[in-house]
Amino acid sequence: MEFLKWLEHSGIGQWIKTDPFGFPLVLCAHSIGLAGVVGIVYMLSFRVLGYSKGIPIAVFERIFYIGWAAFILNAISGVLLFIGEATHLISNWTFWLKMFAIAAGGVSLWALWNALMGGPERTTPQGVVTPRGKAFAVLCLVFWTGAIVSGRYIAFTLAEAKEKELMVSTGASPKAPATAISGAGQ
Amino acid sequence: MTEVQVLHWIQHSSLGELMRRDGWLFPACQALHFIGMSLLFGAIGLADLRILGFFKSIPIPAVLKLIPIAIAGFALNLTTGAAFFASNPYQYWPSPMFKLKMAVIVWAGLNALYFTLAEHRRLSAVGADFEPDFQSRVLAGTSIVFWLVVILAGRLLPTFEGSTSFLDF
Repeated sequence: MEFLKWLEHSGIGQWIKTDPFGFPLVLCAHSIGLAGVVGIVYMLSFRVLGYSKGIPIAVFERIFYIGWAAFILNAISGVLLFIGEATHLISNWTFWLKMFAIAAGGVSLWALWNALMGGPERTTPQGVVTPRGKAFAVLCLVFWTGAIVSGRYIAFTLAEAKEKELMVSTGASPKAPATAISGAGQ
Repeated sequence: MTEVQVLHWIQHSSLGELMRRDGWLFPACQALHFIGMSLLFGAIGLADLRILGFFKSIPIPAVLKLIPIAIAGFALNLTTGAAFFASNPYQYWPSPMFKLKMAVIVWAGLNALYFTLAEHRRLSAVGADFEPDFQSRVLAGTSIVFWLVVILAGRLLPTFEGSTSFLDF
């Protein structure tokens, strides 16, 4: 906890928290990266599930370069967002749900790619779409969508936690339950 | 009707009332808005990059088959976007970032409409080794830049909430 406090009060943490450009700039990067990563995962999954079969699956090996660039952008902006709210996020269940969804989404994508392009005899431009491959494509859709949804809810659970904290510290009597709308602006 | 009357009517429409009544509806729509964004940007981005000359092993007609996914994403975001607006029209209407976002969406839409009318049918029938001409590439390049700006402007909406100029936030 001391380390997390130190992170939040570091120069970077304060830049994210207080600079008028800090938080919006990092969020901009995070949403562009999101569109890149999840957009590519969605397109591959739809292709594997039978949509637009004229697209050779092997081309995704090169499209993944963009996917990796977008993922790195989001890893960096994600770490910065964490630093700005480290003490709150460490105990935020939607944050950990998002981390789980990303990990599970990554494993699913890796498993999908192995199912498509695994053995040397399978490496044709069209790949080999097996029922197993389709199952992994569905898992990719579920987990990466889950990452978006849980990520969006972090804004709400975070706002709620801070509101509660404020009420405790000011000794205010608990009024109506914190409305979910309070996180909408983040 | 005056501007204020229209905004008042939108705010008190059943959609606006619904969005304000159920606390869970707003975040749910926001999550859907991000899913729609990924569908739209994933599909249109890949099609644009192919037309620009990347990933040449994809036949042009195959990549154009992704466009219905982009339209589905756009429809989802138009619906959820209208719901956000109805929940609090006075918050969005004066914002310079909201105006920018709407203007760029209209531009991107006109760009897409022109592509659909002038190029889509022709490009859907071309062979595997066909490469698009300069006009198609300009439209594709414009499209990808416009949609990136739309994402950025959307993400900056809360930053400009309550301001009426780009210089004040």
